[in-house]
Amino acid sequence: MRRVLALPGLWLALFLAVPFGIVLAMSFATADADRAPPVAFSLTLKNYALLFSDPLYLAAWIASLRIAATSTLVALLLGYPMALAIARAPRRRQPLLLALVILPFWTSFLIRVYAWMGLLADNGILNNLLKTLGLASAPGTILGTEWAVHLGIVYAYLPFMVLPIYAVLERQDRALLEAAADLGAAPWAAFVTITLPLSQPGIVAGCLLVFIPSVGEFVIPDLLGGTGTPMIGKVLWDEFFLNADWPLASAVAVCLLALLAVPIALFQRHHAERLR
Amino acid sequence: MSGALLEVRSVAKSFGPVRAVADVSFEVARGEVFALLGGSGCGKTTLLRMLAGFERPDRGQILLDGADLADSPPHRRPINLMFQNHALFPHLSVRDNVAYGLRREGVAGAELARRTEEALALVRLEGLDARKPAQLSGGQRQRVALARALVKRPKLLLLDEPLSALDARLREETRAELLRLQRELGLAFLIVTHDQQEAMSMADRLAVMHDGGFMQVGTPRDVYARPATRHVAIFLGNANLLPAPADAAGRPGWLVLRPERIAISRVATGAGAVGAHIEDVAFEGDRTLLVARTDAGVALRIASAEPGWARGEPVFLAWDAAALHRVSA
Repeated sequence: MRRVLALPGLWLALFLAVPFGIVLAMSFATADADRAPPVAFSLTLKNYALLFSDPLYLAAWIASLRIAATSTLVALLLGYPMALAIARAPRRRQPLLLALVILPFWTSFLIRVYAWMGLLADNGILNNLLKTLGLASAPGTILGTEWAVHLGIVYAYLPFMVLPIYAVLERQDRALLEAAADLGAAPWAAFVTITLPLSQPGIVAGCLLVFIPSVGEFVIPDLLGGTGTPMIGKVLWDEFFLNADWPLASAVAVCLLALLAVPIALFQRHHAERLR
Repeated sequence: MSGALLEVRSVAKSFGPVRAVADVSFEVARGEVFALLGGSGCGKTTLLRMLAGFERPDRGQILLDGADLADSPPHRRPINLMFQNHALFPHLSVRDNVAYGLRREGVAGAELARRTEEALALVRLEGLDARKPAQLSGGQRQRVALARALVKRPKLLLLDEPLSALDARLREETRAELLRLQRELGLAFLIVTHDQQEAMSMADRLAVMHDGGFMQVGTPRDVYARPATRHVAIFLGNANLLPAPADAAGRPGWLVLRPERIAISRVATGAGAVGAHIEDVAFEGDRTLLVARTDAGVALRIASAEPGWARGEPVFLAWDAAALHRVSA
């Protein structure tokens, strides 16, 4: 029994703590192109110093947080009504609606992002459609802008917003809404005073599930975004593969993790308080 | 305007092919306690939900103080419902639960505080106002539900199985409490229940429902003493049903004999006494329920104030002719 309980701990140590230890150690090392891997171990803070002094990195951080935040907000505004509609649908139709939300996962993430390139290109399906309908005269540029990045992130992560909110709404006691109506609450007032506050755990979970991977997202800004301000995931990729500066890339990764630990910790504390 | 507070006229409701309520009419007077009594699936809950506004009748009218409620959604009806499982808002404190209905009316400030305080005092919940529903006992939750439903001073309070969630001791207390408030506030109560004791002990009048319709309406004592059908006789308390000779029109019939109307003794007392022996004894404290089989082979249930009966004991049974009530359906 004891050994069975120790297994998850071993798992965590082997696949989380050890790799992270390597990354952490590497972030204090120096790049050395003549070695393989191109790292000379040392104990220097210059990688971090560079991250906090070069405005390029700061701009990338800010752009990542901003894009992730707006995408999360848009995903929430789209996802909440979807989750509510599924939760209020007849019970026997709910599995089908949920399957539709999850259906995109049956296709590779990369292929779906490529598909958006075809849709959004200057001579792509969207522009041609607008032209045919007479809604646009000259093709507008969407691909390669921040609009496309937002669109891609919202599209890719929307199910992660819908599912936790649905899970909370589906469990809600319908008698509570009847009680609210009985006490004089019009449907909108009942939603704001009962449904919405009681779905808060689902909202928080959904927002974290969308926000956290969005901040470090690499594929979507790389394929749909332009040459303007890169997101931090792209910076990490470039440092690692283009500049072969593994220590700097490691420092970026450590900072990313530290940054994302803050909202997770806040969520945990909030959750613990609710249970009390 | 008639004297009735609530008038239900020929109301019917079906769900697809299932007829839940079929052509029901009744009135509830001001200050009256009226109970709808029936087993599960008899239509009492559908009727309650139509009164609260959660379901629309297919046919018929519901009038409150003479005004038709057909087009009022639940949030505009001067009727409040105390839900069976209380349906307290888990994220709100006791105070906010009680104040909820007033806030929706736009009551605020000192007026809100005063009326909320009043309602809390009414059900003796002062001091618990900051707690969340999860931190309360079953009886306390019941009182919050009551305060929340009463705070808006409804003309009619609907109560869905008000005592069924409570244990035996709390039931008595709560029943007395509910009736005290009902008298003090001059409210009309409409109670929906499957529990005949709950209905009989609280109601001024009750209706026994079966298959979506009313089988009988009357005061509890009247319906108990003179049930209209076999079903009512069995549903309302214990009853022995004895086959009766056909009436003048040739219809078969049954005689209802209540267990407490049978006199039981160890010696034959009168000419009409019937020999029997005891088959089963259930001691219930204030009374003992017996099953005795007569020498003619008929099993009868008997309620006796005496506790000392033994299984297999030979006894004599007797009853007045007035204790027999004939039903033909």
